[in-house]
Parts: sequence; C-alpha cells; structure tokens
Amino acid sequence: MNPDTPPFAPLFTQTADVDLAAEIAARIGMDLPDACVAGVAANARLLQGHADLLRGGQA
Amino acid sequence: MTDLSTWGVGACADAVRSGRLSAVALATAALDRIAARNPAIIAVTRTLRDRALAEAAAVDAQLAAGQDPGPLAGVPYGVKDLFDVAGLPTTAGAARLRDAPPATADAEAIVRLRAAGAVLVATLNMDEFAYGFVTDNAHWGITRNPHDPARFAGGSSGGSAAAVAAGMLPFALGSDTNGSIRIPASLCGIYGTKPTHDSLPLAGAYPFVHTLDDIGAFTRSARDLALVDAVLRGDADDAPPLGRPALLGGWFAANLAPDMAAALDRLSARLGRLPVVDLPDVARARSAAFLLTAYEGGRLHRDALAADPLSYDPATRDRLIAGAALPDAIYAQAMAFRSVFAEYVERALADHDVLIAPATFGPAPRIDDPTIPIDGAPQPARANLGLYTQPISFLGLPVVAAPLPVEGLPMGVQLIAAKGRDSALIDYATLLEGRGLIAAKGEGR
Repeated sequence: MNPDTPPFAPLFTQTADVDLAAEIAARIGMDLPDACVAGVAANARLLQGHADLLRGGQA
Repeated sequence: MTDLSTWGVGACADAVRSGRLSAVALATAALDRIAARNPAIIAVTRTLRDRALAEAAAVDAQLAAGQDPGPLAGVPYGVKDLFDVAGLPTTAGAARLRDAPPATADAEAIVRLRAAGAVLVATLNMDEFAYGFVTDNAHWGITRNPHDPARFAGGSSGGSAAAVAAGMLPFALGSDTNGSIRIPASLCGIYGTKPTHDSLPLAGAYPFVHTLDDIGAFTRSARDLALVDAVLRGDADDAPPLGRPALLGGWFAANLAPDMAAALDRLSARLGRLPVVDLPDVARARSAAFLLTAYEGGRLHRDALAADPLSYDPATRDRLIAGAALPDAIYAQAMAFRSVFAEYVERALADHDVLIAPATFGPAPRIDDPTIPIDGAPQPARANLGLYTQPISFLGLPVVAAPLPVEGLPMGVQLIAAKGRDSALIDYATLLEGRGLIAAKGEGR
C-alpha cells in the first residue's frame, strides 16, 4: 500500500485526454505513443467511475 | 469418415473402449471437421495433427494390449491458446508471443486429460491475454458464433465454446477470470464450468488475474461436463446432493433482454416458482472485480507495456495501461469489499443450495454493433458482457453455465453453489438436463 494515497482520492488528477494519458505514462514509467492516448484516457475514466461506485455506492 | 459433430464425450469414449471405433479414426474425424468448419468460424488457431494422431495411436495400442486407456479414451479436445503445450509457444492470443520459446512441458490439466486417454487436437482462439468478453483478436481474427456468424461467440474463451458448439470437438478447455467460460458457453448454447477458485490445476496456464483466474471445461451436455471435470479434479466431493434453488433478483433481473427475462420466468415456473433473493451491493461487487482485474492485469504486463506498447492488441493495450497506473489504495479497497460481499452471499447460500442467475443480458451481440444496452445506453460488449458473471467469480464460487431451452439464439444461466460443491453442482445441472429444463442448442442442424 502506498501511504501517500488517501483512500478517497481521485485515481487520477488530470482530466484532458493528453494530460490524463501523460499522468498515467509517468506513473508507469513509459513513453506513451500517440495511438494510445485516447484509449488510455477513456479506460482511465471508466476505472474512475468504478472506483466512485465502489467507494460511494453510486457512480 | 466419422461424423463427430453430434458425438459427446461419453459416446466417444464408450465407442473407443468397446472397440467399435479407433481413437485414430476419432482424431482424424475431428481434424476433418475442423478443416471444414473452422474457416467460417475462426475458433481454432493451431491444429496439432501429428501430436493428435500419435496420442490416438497410443490409446489404440493400449486397448490392443488389453489395457484401459482411461475414462476419456480417444476423446478429441482442444485448449484455449493460453495452456502450455509442449513444443509450442504459449501465445495467450498475443501476436507478440507467437515466437516465444516453446513450452517445455504440457500444462497440468493437459497432463491429467492425457492420462485419462483424451487426445489433444487443437489450440483455440481467445481475446488477447484473456482481457475481453467477445474473442475479437487482432492477430487471429474474430471468432464467430456457430448459430449466427454475424454475431460474437463471446469471450475470452470464444474459440473453445465455438469449437464445441460447432461440433468440431466434443469438449474443450478454457479459462474464466470474470466470465470468460460462462459468457461464451451461454452465447453458444453449451455448458461450461467455472470451478471453485483454485480447485482445478492452473499450472501451465498463462495468468491474467491470480486472485480470480480459473480453468474449466466446455461440453454439449451436463453428463459430459461431469466426466471431464472428474478427470481434471482428480477427486469428487461426496456431499449430499443439492436442492433448494432460488433465483437472484435485483441487479440480476435488471437490463435483461425480454427473451432472457421470459426464459428465466419459465424456468422458475417449471421449478415450482422459485423464491427470489436480492443480494445487496452487487453493483459495488462488479466494480470491485473490474478494478481488481485492471490492477492485477495491468501490473502483470506493466514492464512489457513500457518496453513495447505497440506490440499489443490495441483493444487490450489501452485497458492494461490504464490498469497498470491504478494506485494501491483502490486495490486494497476492492479486496476489503470482497470480504463484505462474501458475507452477503454466504447468508443467501445458507438458505438456498443453488442460486440461479442469467449468464448474459440476452443473446450474442452483433459484430457490426458490438454493444449491449445497460440502463438504456449502449455500452461496449468487450468490457461489459460480464455484468452478471463478475460479481460471482469475484468470490471464487463454483458455477455451471447451463443453456436454456429457447427458440432462436442461445442464452444461458449460471447455477451457483457454495465453494467446494462443484461435483454436486454438476450433478444438479444433470438433473435439470434430465427434466428438459436446460438443454444444449444444436448448431442449426
């Protein structure tokens, strides 16, 4: 467990596709090809929705 | 030529053991059937002709020497492309692994099946790294539903389900993490097992989510399922038979296609109007399973994704990358909720031996419209067909996916029991099959 991650913090802090994908790439330590940006951002938002539902009981 | 297309596991083994048919003839018939049917369905990725004929000849030699080859004598079968097959690369459906070093030994499940006389004939298509519910593989192609080739077979073990439903093979092995056996079994109109977590051998099966991964079988009858499961399991529980069924309501009654709702209602009526159980917090359970999967799957592939992301199937890659970036805290929360949800389900299983739920919302989605309706809005089928399966496998419970006797396209239910009741659950499915309440669907023959 990463002690710096509070239990109800958003999974990701950025919102725009490019910024969100860059945040994710930085966490993983990879250079994200342009072809991945839109798909990664969409999947990150999907995961945020599931996290909201898990934590709060509603999406 | 022997027409294998309607022969089940038991019929094949009986024919070989009694000397009415040779194992080599059965293997040859399976290879011929694959050659005839597979180009339109794309269920098989590799045929193993030399190996199959050698294994079959060994079975025939045992019989000629007066030895019993085992309960699956000469029965041809295939395995999802994530089981180790000695001498072949284990691809897990990934183009990036097609030139991987060959496996040095068979997966443990294959070892057990071979010891029982079964003959491995083919490897079978899947979503890349098992991350999907449709079997839309960028390298091998889309596995098409034998009942309507314009529709998906389901996934991720879609090649296994389609090969059995199309009569290419009497049985096949797949894996199920979130529904990857139950969904294609349902959409192809056959049976499938998702066993009690970790009760069947996972050694030599390419991993995805270690907390949830299981292997299991596809067959065209519940009796055949019992034969294969007994060999894979090695022992059987001899606890009392299961009764006291109930229907899961709430989440499991929402978003159903009218045909599925009607089929469930008919099943309930035929079973004396089943009591309905509403489990709390199912939506949270599904979300927890979704996050757990993304986290573990993402971490498994994190280094390879960082090194060469474009070598992945785009539909898998972007999901894995997002999952690899999930913080540890959300994984811990998902795992903590698992214990809470397990208590809810344990309470329900204290009053009811078998919980019955839909396996999918309805019939297979069309390939040219890869969506399913959820709360009135179309959602991608690849990620969302597990609506009703994910909350169950989240807890590691045993499930038999059983086909409903419906007109038109196939649909199935999940028969769910307490952990460790796998054999009794298959017996219960056999009982329902005997009463005509569940039945595999022929391929329009």
